[in-house]
Amino acid sequence: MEKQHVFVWEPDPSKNKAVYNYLVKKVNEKDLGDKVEIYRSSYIGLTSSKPIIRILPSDTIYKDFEQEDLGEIFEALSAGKKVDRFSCEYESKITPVPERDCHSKQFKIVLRNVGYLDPENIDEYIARGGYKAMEKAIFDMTPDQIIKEVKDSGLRGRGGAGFSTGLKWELTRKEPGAEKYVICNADEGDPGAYMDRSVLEGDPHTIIEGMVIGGFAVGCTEGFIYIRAEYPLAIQRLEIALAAARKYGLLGKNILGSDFSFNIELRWGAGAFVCGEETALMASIEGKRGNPTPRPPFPSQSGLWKKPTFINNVETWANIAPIIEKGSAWFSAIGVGRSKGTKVFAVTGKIRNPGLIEVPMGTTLREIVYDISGGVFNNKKFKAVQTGGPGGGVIPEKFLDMSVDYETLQSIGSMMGSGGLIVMDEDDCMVDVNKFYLQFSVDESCGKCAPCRIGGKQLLDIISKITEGNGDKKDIQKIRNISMAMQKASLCALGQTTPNPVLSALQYFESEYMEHVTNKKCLTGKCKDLMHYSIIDEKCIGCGVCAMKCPAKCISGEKKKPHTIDNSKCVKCGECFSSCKFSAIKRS
Amino acid sequence: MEKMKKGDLANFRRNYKSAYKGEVVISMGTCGIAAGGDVIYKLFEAEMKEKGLDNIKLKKTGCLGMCFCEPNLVVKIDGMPDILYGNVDERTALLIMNEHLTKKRIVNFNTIFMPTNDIGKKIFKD
Repeated sequence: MEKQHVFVWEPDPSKNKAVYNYLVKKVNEKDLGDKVEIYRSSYIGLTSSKPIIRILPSDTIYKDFEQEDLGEIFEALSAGKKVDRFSCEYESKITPVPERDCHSKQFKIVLRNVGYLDPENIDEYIARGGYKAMEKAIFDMTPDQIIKEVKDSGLRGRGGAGFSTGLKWELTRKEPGAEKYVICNADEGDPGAYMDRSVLEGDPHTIIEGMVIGGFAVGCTEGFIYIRAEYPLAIQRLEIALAAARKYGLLGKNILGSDFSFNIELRWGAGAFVCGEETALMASIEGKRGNPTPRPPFPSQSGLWKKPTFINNVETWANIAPIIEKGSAWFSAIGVGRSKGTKVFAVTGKIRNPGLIEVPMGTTLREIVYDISGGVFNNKKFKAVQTGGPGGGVIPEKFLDMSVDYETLQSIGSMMGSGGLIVMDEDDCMVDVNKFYLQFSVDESCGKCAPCRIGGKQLLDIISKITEGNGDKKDIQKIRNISMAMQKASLCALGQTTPNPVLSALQYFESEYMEHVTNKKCLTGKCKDLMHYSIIDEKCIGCGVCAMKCPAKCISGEKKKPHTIDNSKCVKCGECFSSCKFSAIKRS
Repeated sequence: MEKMKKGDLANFRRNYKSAYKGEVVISMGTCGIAAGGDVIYKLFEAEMKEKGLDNIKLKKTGCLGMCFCEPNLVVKIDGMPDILYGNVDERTALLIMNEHLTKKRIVNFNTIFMPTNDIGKKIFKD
């Protein structure tokens, strides 16, 4: 029998190592040291409130067992058998394909190579099946077949709007004229989102391969990757990848000896958020100021240099090679309803295991937050998640069991967006969060159209007024009116979506807004102007810790006698509140 | 090298063999580097040379998505399961080299599991 490596994960290893200790003791008792080895693992790929055991090389996972079941597990282990009733295998309706991993709720199509191969080495990419789909597309398929395949797969734009990718390609192909362009939108700007950066840094060739296939299908010879200059490593790795692909004849003139030629150039964005909007992005590539223009005409009719153009997001491009390789039926089997395939999320905020995950469409928020990312940090109470960045909305706890797909998210006032998922706990104040996002949108508004330029600023002023304790009930109605005007009249998606976070917060957390407006109170302590710190004389023992911590030096008093806070100097940082061990500081 | 023609890719894949008996793969996206991945990379580079571990390949890769335990690295040694170590500091790095790479013994802490199996290999298998 091969040596068994047993990895034990326990929810709170600092307190209790019962499972690990038991198994180690058993191994020593039976003198099985050379056959079985026990390790402590700090993360095992999934999380639970109970210990989990993972055994290699058979890759068996045991879950939901009790301490008294360990004897049975150990017996089976030393006999090289399996205890089926604890063995963990997920059933999945949303990934009915043989490649699925029954030990995980994740499914990595876009991130399939990220973290596995050396992004600066084209040989490794080719060895893992890279450029196979491109070869198939160029030699064994006609452009119409490729477009049909992409259309049938149900792939929709991963940049946020969710427009059918195949349809976009078809519309561009139908346009007359020989000169057409392909663009990869790598101008990722949402706060807290880094999906595209990871793909570009970890697997640049998959984007090149996708774009060549797209170029061949639509009939163009030139492509651009519009990337933020703030991603220097991604730019460097893309340049290495482009040079290597050219050297191997996988890009440039007569690709793989065929008569199809295609070239890709990089264009750097200077960091304006609005340049992620397709019309502004094209203006920026042309060397103009990055301002959006009204649509129609759509880019498929008149885009870059007034030629038919199609733009897809990094994540969309990364899906192309697997679709061509495995076929549309394989891809469209994954997911739910009209949302096919997988989605990458950058899970950040108050979460135990922040990181980049990829889940099939239709996975529930609860699975993402609790099963994959380990739940809320420090076991605090979950409050909401923000999806879709500054143009998305908050999703409260009651929707945790809702499936994550384009339609469902839209129906509750949020949106898929590019994939930022920010988890908030009970300590976060909705009004304060809204203020942050509004500030971002106001800073990034290009100023071309009045609803976005003036409306955003007005919204921010009203919210600031509320957080300062000067809010009025009429302000809520004003917010709604301005928001409606912005949604209806703004030129591009930036202005149209700026009010979304505020509107969804008003929908689900209205009581919190009203608390700020009518009682002038912020229960979480985030809105500093509404805070007032004072010392409860009966509880203060005069240890002086708060006075030492206070950055404004506004706490004074004699040793061993109650201290006082000089509120005229207080900066409301809350240091005294969190450092007092005797709960003698009152926050109101 | 000469430009590839139709069919050359399949030949390339057939003949592609690693000359090494194992790999140490360090996550080095921007996030990994920021967390200290490049320091660990340099340490491995220098120490492996000194210890004469030249049959093991040291390589960098992108972000595995496990931001909570950066810097992380995967050790793949022939005949042993692939092991991912998280929160690798200099001490752990030296332990990994002395124990795992040299004596083929898995270090009993900082082991982590990849959240998923490598499905990229399955999608594009010949």
